[in-house]
Amino acid sequence: MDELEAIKVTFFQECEELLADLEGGLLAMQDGNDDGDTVNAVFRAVHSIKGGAGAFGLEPLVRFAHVFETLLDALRSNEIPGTADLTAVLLRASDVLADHVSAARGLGMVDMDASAAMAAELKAWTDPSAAAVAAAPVEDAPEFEGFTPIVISGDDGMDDDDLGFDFQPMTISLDAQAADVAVLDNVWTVSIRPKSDLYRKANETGLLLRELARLGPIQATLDDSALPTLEFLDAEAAYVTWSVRLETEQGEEAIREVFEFVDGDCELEITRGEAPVADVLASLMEVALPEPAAPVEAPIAVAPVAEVAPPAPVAVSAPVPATPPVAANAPAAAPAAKPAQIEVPGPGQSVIRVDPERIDRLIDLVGELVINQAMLAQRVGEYGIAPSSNLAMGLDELEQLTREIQDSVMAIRAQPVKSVFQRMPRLVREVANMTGKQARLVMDGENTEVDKTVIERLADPITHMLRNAIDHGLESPEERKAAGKNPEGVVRLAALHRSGRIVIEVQDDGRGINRERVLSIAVKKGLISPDLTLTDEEIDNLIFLPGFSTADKISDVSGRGVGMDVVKRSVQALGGRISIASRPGLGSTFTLSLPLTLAVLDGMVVDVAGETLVIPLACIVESLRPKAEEIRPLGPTGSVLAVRDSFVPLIDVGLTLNYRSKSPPPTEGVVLLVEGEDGSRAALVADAIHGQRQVVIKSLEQNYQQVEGVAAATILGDGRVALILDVDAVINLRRRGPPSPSDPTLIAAE
Amino acid sequence: MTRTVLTVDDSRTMRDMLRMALSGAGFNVVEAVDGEHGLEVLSAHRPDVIITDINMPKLDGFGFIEAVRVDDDYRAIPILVLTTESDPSKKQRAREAGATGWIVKPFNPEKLVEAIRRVAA
Repeated sequence: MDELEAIKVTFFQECEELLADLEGGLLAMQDGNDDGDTVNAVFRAVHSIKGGAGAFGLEPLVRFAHVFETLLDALRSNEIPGTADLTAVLLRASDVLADHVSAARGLGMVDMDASAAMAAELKAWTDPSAAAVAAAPVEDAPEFEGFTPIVISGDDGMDDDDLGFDFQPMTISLDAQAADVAVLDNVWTVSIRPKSDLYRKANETGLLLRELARLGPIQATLDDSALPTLEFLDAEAAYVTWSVRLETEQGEEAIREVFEFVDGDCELEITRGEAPVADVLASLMEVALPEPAAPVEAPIAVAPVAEVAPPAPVAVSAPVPATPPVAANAPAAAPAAKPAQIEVPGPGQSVIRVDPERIDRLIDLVGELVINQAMLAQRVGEYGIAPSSNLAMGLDELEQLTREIQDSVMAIRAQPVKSVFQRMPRLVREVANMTGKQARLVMDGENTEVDKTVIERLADPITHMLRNAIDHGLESPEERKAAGKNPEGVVRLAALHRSGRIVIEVQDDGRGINRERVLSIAVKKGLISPDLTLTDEEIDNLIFLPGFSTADKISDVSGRGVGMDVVKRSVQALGGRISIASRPGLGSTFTLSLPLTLAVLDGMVVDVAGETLVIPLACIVESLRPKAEEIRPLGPTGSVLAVRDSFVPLIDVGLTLNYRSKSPPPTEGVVLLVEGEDGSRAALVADAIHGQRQVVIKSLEQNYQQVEGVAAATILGDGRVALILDVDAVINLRRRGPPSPSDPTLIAAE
Repeated sequence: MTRTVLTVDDSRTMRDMLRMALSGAGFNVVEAVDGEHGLEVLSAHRPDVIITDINMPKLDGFGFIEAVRVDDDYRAIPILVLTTESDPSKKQRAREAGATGWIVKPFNPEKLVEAIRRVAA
């Protein structure tokens, strides 16, 4: 990739971070949680975006950022007071700025009218006369003058010295000869008397002379007559003055430019023509010496004369512009040759950029390592080697190491969910505006880490849940007031780790689910039979059924052809679950849970009807051997198990998955008490338990097809394929009765 | 001898830009993300020239320049201030703090290298 392009990529990455900082800061200001530095950080964010955008010539972005920055600057210097109204405007401006960034990136368009209106609104805060709108471009223009996107031509680094030598002496010596015989129009006299401030700022007279010498041949005369003797010398003070005879074709402007940095830090006189050296010095002396008790001798007698040739090889170590500035501006768009030196990250840099594919490959390999290690352990076990033997102990250590490697490798790819969360405040603002609701987003656990592969797929479900919460969950401000609530609804988005999974919660304090209506719609649409008795929870979860939509009319926001059923399916495809809990009048909570990684899983290996299955450890509460008196029949085929003071349904996994048509008595097997995502419990009956194992998840969908009741597959230590049970699906299958014969038959491959 | 330039800027884009322009012109580049960090890098690398931004978290450009100028070991290092501010008061404040010169953003590599040449021995 072109180096400049690479920096542009960095710039847009940085923009994302800066926009997030900007929004975060503004939200803190809105909530009154800002400290003195918040407004500065907000200002810096916009300032940095503008700075980078300027370097890339992204003018619409620069223009808007400039107006934004001006207002923020006024705010941080207390020229205008910070008010809630202002913060609201700034938040909207940050959205427009984000649009500009996206547009500059080639993603989407900016509504230029809206942007202009926003810019005018921002200006009105700093300049209430607001007529400044038209004047804006003029005011901004000087910032871009002389702008050149960075182009480094091959001439720059390598050939400079050559160019310097070839070019300057030739032309100048010719001119100089001509000038000597003809007019002395090109001769200047420059007298310089530095003040101590010049040196304090690390400027150097010698360097100024070197710069002058770049304009043409110079003859410099030093007057050190004001230099006191050593005992009176102040090392920090300035005592000497210089008089320089310069021959150049360039005008006074160019000479003055040499002294740009020392303007005010030295007394400078530039006169055309050749001044007799003594005169110049005499004139300088008057200024230089307050006490005329100075030397009697003519100053010229003591002044050593320094000759500096224009192409002074010592001086010209810095490159000379290879082309005149005007020409340098022109080829800006032309792709330049790669710079001679490729950048090497400096020692100050501590971040390594790695191609994600390499990490993916590493994770795959570690997965294979885990399988291999398990296989080895199993083989050794089969030989009946004592656990206390050196071999077995060495294997234990290997297992531990393998696990550590796996954790470390997974940690490389783990990222905080922040990157997804930070897009949400804007979404909430927009949805609230569109639906006429008032909503405030509260976020928790943004730093919860999860595998990168999972993060990328979180955005869609969260977006949909939030839209749903505002559009369907929250009431209008009037309704809320009538119900005695704050007109502003609160939507809470939280991320947390729970038993090896990441859980995302979207909670609103709205009206909750209207169960009567949900039920009647489900019946009307033929999704459930009218005589079915459902628990509140079951009714709530009807909204995930395909073909269900509670909105009377499809609103602009929620109903984009994507129902909650689609969300549910996409979540399930990731090995995740989604559920809803609702309290009428108090609000609803969507809970989404996903595995932390899509690569490994801790599971319990069990035998069912001669097949080996893996049950995710995270779902298992306990395992037990049921006694006959704890089992009670329920209905024609079902039975329940008494576990302490409650009854849980007994589910024969073999029967549910169609491995067998008749269950053996549960007392002959082992029962695993499991908990589903919605908190419902069930007792799964298996024939035997083989123990816990970490398994590498292999997608069944990718390699075969989706099978109800099965989440994925894995390869066991002995090389056999085992299916990983989808506990929630098994519980639900049981509720609906055994699968019909048309369901795919499950055969675990040998 | 390759000269070392320390760039102090909180914007990664700007640091990358500077690095590209400077290493393209044969300079060795070390970087810092704010004034505080700049002072640390300074002692580790002893740069020949410093280029610093003004608006930075923790320690801003003014504070950074002042800190460099009061340190006997470093006060002779030329410092160029990098800024988009067209505001002359900022430039003046930077000079009072002890800035040697300045570069107006957006800069082009020629201007940048020229500014360094003007202040670097």
